[in-house]
Amino acid sequence: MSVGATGPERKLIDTCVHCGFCLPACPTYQLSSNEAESPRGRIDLMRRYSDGAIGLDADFVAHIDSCLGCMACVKACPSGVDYETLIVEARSMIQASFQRPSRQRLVRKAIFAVMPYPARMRPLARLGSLSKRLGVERIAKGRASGGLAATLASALALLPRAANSAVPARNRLYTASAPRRGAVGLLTGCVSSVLFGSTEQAAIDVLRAEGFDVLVPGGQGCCGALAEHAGEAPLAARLAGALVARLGREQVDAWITTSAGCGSTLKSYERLLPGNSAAREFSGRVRDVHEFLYQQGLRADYKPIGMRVAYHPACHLANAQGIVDEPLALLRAIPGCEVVLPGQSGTCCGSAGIYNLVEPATAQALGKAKAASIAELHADVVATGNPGCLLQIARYSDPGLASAHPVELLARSLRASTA
Amino acid sequence: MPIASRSDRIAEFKRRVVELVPDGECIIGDAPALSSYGADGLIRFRQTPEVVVLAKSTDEVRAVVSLCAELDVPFVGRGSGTGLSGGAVPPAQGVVIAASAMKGIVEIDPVDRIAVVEPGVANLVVSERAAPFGLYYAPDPSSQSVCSIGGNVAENSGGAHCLKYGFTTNHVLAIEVVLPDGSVEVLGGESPFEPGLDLRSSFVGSEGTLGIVTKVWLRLMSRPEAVRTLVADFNSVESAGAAVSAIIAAGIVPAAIEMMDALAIEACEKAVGAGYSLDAAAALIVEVDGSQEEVDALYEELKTACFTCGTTKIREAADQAERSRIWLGRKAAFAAAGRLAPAYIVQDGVVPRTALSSILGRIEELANQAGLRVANVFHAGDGNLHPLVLYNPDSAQESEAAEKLATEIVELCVEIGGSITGEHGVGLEKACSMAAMFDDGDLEAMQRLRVAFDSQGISNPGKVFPTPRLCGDAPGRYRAHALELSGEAVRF
Repeated sequence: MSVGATGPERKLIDTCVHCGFCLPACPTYQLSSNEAESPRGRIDLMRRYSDGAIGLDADFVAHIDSCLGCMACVKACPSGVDYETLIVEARSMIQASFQRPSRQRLVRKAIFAVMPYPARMRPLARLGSLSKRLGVERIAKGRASGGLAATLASALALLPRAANSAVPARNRLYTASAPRRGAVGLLTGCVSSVLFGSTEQAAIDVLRAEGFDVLVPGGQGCCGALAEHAGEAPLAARLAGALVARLGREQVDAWITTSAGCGSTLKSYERLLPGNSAAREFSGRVRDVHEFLYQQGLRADYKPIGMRVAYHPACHLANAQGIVDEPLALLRAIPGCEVVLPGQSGTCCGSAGIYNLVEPATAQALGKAKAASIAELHADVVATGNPGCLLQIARYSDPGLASAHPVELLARSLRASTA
Repeated sequence: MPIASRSDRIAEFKRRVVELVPDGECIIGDAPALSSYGADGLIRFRQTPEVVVLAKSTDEVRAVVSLCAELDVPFVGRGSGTGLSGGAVPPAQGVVIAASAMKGIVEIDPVDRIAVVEPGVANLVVSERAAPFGLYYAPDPSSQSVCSIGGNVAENSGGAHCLKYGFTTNHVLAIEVVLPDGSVEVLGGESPFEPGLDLRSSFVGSEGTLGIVTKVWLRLMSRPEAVRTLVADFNSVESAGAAVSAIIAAGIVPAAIEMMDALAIEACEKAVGAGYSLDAAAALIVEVDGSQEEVDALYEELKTACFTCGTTKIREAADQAERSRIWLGRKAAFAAAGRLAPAYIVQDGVVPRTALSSILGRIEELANQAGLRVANVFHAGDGNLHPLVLYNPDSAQESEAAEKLATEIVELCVEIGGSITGEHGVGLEKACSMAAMFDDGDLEAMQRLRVAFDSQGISNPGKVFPTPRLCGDAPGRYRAHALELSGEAVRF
C-alpha cells in the first residue's frame, strides 16, 4: 500500500483545535474569504471525511488541491499542528482513491512524465523558449480554456525567454580554491538543473572560494518534492529511493541544495521511505545552501557591488525549513548591497511546485500581488532561494527587473574587481 | 406568514438568493464547504447550514436578510468564526451570512480619532492601520490577529487590557446594522454623547440575536507615552492571587494583570517560548502605561506589592520585542492547551477579585473529583477566569466528565457572587446556565427587547436564551413562563 493512501491519521487531525489563528496567514483564505479554503477549514474537511459526514467528491478535492502548501499556517499555529503531513497525506489519499476528471488526469500525467526527468525536460524547455521567442505563447494563450492547452500556456509563460546558461559538468570534483574546510556534494535536482545552470555554477564557485571541495555526481534525478507536494506519494517514494541509492555511498560532509522546495522534502525522506536508515542518514546531511554557508561562516573576500536587492523569502525556506535570517545575513555580507523586503513578505508568490500549472487563477492573483509589492521597492534585482519562485516572480514582473538566487549575487561579488 | 414547509421555503431561498449577491459569493451545492461553516472556535457544537453567503456590501446583507424575513428562514451572522461559546453555530436549516469578505477600512480620521471599518476586518488590522498616526484600537482579545470587529461587537469582546480601558462597548461610537426585518439603521453617532435611548449599547454584546453589523465607527486612542511590563513568579497560586489584591489595594490601575498557573505556563512556553519560568506555581504578567514619570512611579509600587506577597522572581521586558514575546505567550494560551491534551474546554467565568485565591483551590478539588486536569489562565484584574478543562475526546466518559466539570466551575462562579461569562458570551454553550443567574422575570425582560428587534425570531435563534429544546427538562434550569403556557408568547 502506498504512503498515506488511507488519509491522515485521526490523531494528527485532532491536534487542530479550530482556533482560527491560521486564517490571516493563509493566502487562499485571504483571497477567497471562504472557510473551506483555509488551513483549519481543510483540516475540518479531513475530520468530517474521517467521521463519514462528507464524501470524497470533486468539491472536497478542489479545496485540498487549492492549498499552496506554503506552510505559512504552520508558523502561525499555536497548537503545533503538523499541517505539512496532513496535506500531503490528504493528497495521497485523493490520488489513491479519487477518480479525477480525464482532463485533470491528463494534465498531471503530462507534468509528472516530464518535469522530474531532466533528459525529457531539457529539450522541451529549449523548444519552449524558442517558441516563446517566436510568439507561440500568444497563440497558446488564445486557445487555452482549461486542460492540457491551458497548462502548456502556463508553462510557456513561466519559461525564461532564453534557457539559462550551460550546466556545470557532472561527475566531477571541483576542488576548493581556498584553504580547505571540507567536502560537500551538490544536489542538482530536475527543473533547476535544466533552467538554472547559473545557480549551480554560482553555488560551486562560492563553496570553492569558501574552502570546500564540491562533488557534483551525475545521474541524479528528481528528489521527489514536486510529486510529494502534489500527493503523488508512490512516484515521490520511487524518486527518493533512487536518489538515496545513487548518492548514499558518496563521502561528503553535507549535501547542498539550492532549491527551497527540494530541501524541505530532502530533509524529511523518512516520511516517504519509512524505516529506510540510508534515507534517514542522507536526510540528516542535507543542507540548504544559505543554511550551510551561514553555519560555516563566510571567509572569502567579497568585493563591493552597489545594488538594491529585493529579497523574497521562499515559503519552503522560511516556513517549511525555518531558514529566515540566514539568506538576509549572507546578502548583507556583500559590501554595498542594500537588502529590502516587500510588504506582506511572508505571503506566497503563487509558484508552489506545480501549483501555477494546475491552479492558474489563484497562482496569477498571488503572482501579480507579489510582483506589485516587489516593484514598489524599486530594486535592481529580486533574489529568492527557490527556482519556482524565481520563474513565477519574473513572469509577473517588469522584464527590466533582474532576478537571481542569492548565491549568484555572492558569486558575482567574488568576481567583482576591487574598486 | 408563509405557509409552505420549511424545506420548500429553503428551496425557494436557494433559488432566489444568488441574484441578490452579485459581488459576493453564495455557497449552496458545495457540501464540504457548507460543512466547514458548521462550527466556530468551539468545535463541540456543530450544525451544517443550508447556504453560506459571503457578502460584499451592506446592500447584499440587507437583501439576503430581507429574503430570510420574507421566507421565514433563520440566519446567523459570522465574522472570523473564532468565538468560544458556539455563538456562530448556524441555526438548523438556516443560513450563514459571513462578513469575512467585507474587510475594508473605510476611513481613518486621525484628528477626530475615529476609524470607520467594515465588520470583517480583523481587530489587529485596525491598530496596524492606525499606527502611523500614533493611534490604536484598545480592546485586545487574545485572538485579535484573527477575530473580526463585527464579531467583537456581537460579543462585546474584552481582552487583557480591558481592566483599564474597558470592553468593546466603550470603544464603539456607532454601528450600521441590518435588522432582522431587512431595514438598515445606524445606532449611536460620532459624538460621545447621543440623546435618547442608547440602542447602540443594547446591540453591542447581543450575540447576533438583534441583527447583523455592517459598518462600525470605532474610537481610536493615543499610544501611551511609556509602557512597562513585568512577569512575576510565585510559589503558589494563593500568593499570586494575594499580589493581585495588593496591587489594586495600592491604588494602582495597571493596563493589565494576567495570571497563569503552572500547567498554563507549560503550555504557553511550549507553544511560543516566551521565557516564562517552568518551575513557578503561578505567574503574573502586569503592565503599567501612561506618562513616563507616572509609569516609573507605578512600576516601583508594583514591584513592592509583588515582593510583599512573596514573588520569587521578577523579569521586566527590556524592550518592545521582549514585551511582544511575553504577550504572544499569554495570547496563545487557549490554542497552546492543544499541546497538553488532545481536547479541552475553555471555560469563561467571573468571580469577585477577592475570591481569586480561594476559587482556584475549589476548582482543583472539583478537577480531582472528576479525575481531570485543569489549566488556568485569567484576566486577574477583573476576576475573569479562563479554566481550560483538558480531556481525551476518544473517551465518551471523559468527554462527558469534562463538560460536567466545566459547567460546575461556572456555576461555582455564580454561587460565590460572580457570573457565567466574562467575555466569551453565552452563545449556545451557556444558554442553559442563564437560568442559574437570572430568574424568569429577568429573562422575560430580555426577551421583550429581543422581540422588539426581531419579531420573527430569525436572527441567531437558539442562542443566549434557554430553550426547552436546548435545555431539556433539566430541573431548576428552564420553566415555561405563564405567558408561554397560555400561548400568548413564545420563546425562540
